[in-house]
Amino acid sequence: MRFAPPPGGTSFFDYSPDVFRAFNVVYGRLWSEGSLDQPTKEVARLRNARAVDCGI
Amino acid sequence: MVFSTWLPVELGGEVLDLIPGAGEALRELYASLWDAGVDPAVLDACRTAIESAIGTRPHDGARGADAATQAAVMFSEQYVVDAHGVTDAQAAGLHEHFTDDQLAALTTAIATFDALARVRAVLAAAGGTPAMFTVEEA
Repeated sequence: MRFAPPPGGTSFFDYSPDVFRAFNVVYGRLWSEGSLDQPTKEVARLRNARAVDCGI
Repeated sequence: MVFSTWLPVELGGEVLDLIPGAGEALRELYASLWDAGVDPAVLDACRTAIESAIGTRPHDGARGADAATQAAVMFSEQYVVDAHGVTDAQAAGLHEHFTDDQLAALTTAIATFDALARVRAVLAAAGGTPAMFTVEEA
C-alpha cells in the first residue's frame, strides 16, 4: 500500500480528520436528502464505481 | 457562480438548494480544504488544472511553478484522466513534497474540485435557465 492509515485509523483520510468529517457530512446529505430514492442512488454509485474500476 | 442549466430550477435559483442541507455541507467541506495545511497556491493550481482538464476553463499549464506544485498538478491531472494511472514514481514524488496529513487533504481537495467541475459540466446547458451554484464564493 502506498499510503497506510495512521495508527488507529482505517483509511488514509484519517490523516486529515477535519476534512474527512466534512466530507462525510456531504456524503451523508447526498444519501439522506433530495427527491431521488436511495435504490436509484445506489445504482448510480455502483455504475460509477464500475466505470472507474473502484472496488468499493 | 452563475451558469445556465437544463435543470427545472427557478430563474436565479440555487441549484444546491434542491438537496436540503447539501449546499451548506459542501460549502463547509470546501472551506475546510483551504485550512488543512496545504499551501493555498498549490490547491489553486490543482483546481485550475482540473477545471482545464474537464474543459470548464482555459489553462496555460503550471509553467514556472515549484516542484511541489508541479507534482500536485500532475497528480491532479492523472486523477481526472485515470486515477489508477498514478504511478509509483508519482506517489513517491508526492511524498517528497508533502506530509501524510497534507496528502490526505490534497487528495480530498482534488476529489472535490473534480466533482464540482464535472457536476457543473453535466448540468450546464447553453440557453438554459440562469441559476446559481454557490460553493467557492460562499
